[in-house]
Amino acid sequence: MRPLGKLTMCVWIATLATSFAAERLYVNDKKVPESREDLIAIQTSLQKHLAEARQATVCIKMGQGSGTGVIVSESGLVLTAAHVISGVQKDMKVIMEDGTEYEAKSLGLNSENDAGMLQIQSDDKFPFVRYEAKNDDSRSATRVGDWVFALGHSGGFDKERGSVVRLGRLIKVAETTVHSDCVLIGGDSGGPLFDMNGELVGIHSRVGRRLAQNMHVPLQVFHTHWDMLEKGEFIGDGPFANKPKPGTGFMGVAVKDVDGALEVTQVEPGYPAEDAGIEVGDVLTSLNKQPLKSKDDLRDRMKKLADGDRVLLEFSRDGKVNSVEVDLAKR
Amino acid sequence: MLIWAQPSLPSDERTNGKEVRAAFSEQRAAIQKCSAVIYDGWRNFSYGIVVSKDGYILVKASELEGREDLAVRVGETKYSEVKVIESDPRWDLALLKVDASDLTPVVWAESSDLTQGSWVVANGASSRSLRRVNVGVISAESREVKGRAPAVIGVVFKPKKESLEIHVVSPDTGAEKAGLKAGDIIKKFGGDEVTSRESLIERIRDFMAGEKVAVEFERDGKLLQADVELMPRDKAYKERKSRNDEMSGDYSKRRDSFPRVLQTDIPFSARTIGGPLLNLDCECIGMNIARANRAESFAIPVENLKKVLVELMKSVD
Repeated sequence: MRPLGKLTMCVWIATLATSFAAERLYVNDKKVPESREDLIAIQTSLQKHLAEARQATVCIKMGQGSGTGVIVSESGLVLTAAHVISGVQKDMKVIMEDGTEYEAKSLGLNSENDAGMLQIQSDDKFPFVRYEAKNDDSRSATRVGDWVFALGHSGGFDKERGSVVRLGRLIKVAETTVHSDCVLIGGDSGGPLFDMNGELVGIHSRVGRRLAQNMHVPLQVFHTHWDMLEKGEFIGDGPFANKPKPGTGFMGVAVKDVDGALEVTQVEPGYPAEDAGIEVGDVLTSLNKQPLKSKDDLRDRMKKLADGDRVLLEFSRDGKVNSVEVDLAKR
Repeated sequence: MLIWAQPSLPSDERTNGKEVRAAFSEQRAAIQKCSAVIYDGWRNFSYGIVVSKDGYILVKASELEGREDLAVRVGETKYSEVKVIESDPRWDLALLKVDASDLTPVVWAESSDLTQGSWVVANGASSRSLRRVNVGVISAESREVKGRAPAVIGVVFKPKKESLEIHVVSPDTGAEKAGLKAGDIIKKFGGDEVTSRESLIERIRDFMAGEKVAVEFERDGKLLQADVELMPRDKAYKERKSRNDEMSGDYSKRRDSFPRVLQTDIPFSARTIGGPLLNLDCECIGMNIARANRAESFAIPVENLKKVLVELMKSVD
């Protein structure tokens, strides 16, 4: 009796284990679907994972433009495209499917392969998707011909429409790019590409001239530099993002030396200092918590700062000390 | 540089490649019978839905504009005598009649309510004898699609000002013809108070290009009124195409202002719109009404199609 019971128990556990290891959709191993049954199998797989995938697919708002990203952890880590976040440590917003907005901060990016990461700034628990595990040889587990589906906030966030799904097949699988015939458009960038087990295999990057040329960043590219991306590093020299160049950041003020500090003599309209509320007569006392001693001191320090950098400016006005954040801009 | 790559997928095996489409032979056979090809002379510019045995065809109305030599093909037969019975501009639908007797009308589905991700089938390319199909899935939630760009009066407001103070009156617009000038502050539009650009745009949406609307404005402390004719946005301003429009190749001229649409990811062109949208059971869940852009296409749901058809048929004596 006992040995038999043990055997039954082993069989039961084995069955359970198989159901957790996602099986490859059988139609993926056919050259093309051949029957209504095959078509229904594809449709069923897609529909099984769609709701969960949609919940984790966020719209990313950066200034006037928007892109898409996908949440991959309960704490709100988002994978997206480098050209969507376009810089590291930048503030942006994400919009969930139900319209809820959250503050977010970009982490690192790979400007050569278009991988990017973002962190939602909140203690809330977020819906998230599973992603393709790191493979030792950096090769994607996907194969040319695999059925895949893409989600994205095409053309921008539209609550009534929801994110848009496209069904297609992988046309090309290479080390740093995969192509599919899921048709992408502006706004989809940074959005998720899933296999038929609902596992994230790619992030949308760009479109080619023909409808069937749609390029995605393979998950393995994220794995190659995962820690650096999470730490907020800028990897590579483009073309998907431009490394901030020192000396390109301007506040838009003219100052004069006055008693070991700097008095503002002019505020240029349309520049960050004006936007931050700086006025003529304000006395600038420190930049990024370090005291400002002279005009030359300020000039030397600005030489190291770039367009897009955020600085903390301390100043006194009418005897009161204030501090304000200023986002530097291009001249 | 590519260090390794698997061989690319041959085009016949892609989602809308010949070999994948072969799996939809049943649906193709239905489309062969219940869709019509619409010609201007020898050039086919749109599709239609066969709705009766004796030759009533439902088509996209705005595509008929400027067509001089209408003809219709159903199956292999071409009909050169085509009557335009009536049209519904709200839904952009029109009813045609050809002299036929044994056509196979479309089988209407009970409901257009297909779950997102469900396969759908529509017209693809056509030859003289064959209707081919294009396939895809229901791609997004069904909804109303408002007009993108409302009609305009033809002014540019002073930037950075909350009030509707006119900065520039564009030439050859309703605003210019009505005598509006830079510095005028618009107070009321169509009888309603307007205080911001958003409120003005909301009000303008209730009117169409060509309509004259009473505009109340302030000039030098006086309250004046003028009737301003609205124009289509692209006539008033030579606007450049948006980046997404540039990416989209050709799209339908009328691609918005629909009270309700289904959305699919079928790769239509402006010329393959107008035919029936079938589910896998070969039933018609809608009419493909617009190629909106590279990634989005719209269809009018069967429930609305049938209602409009009933109204259009009332024009038949």
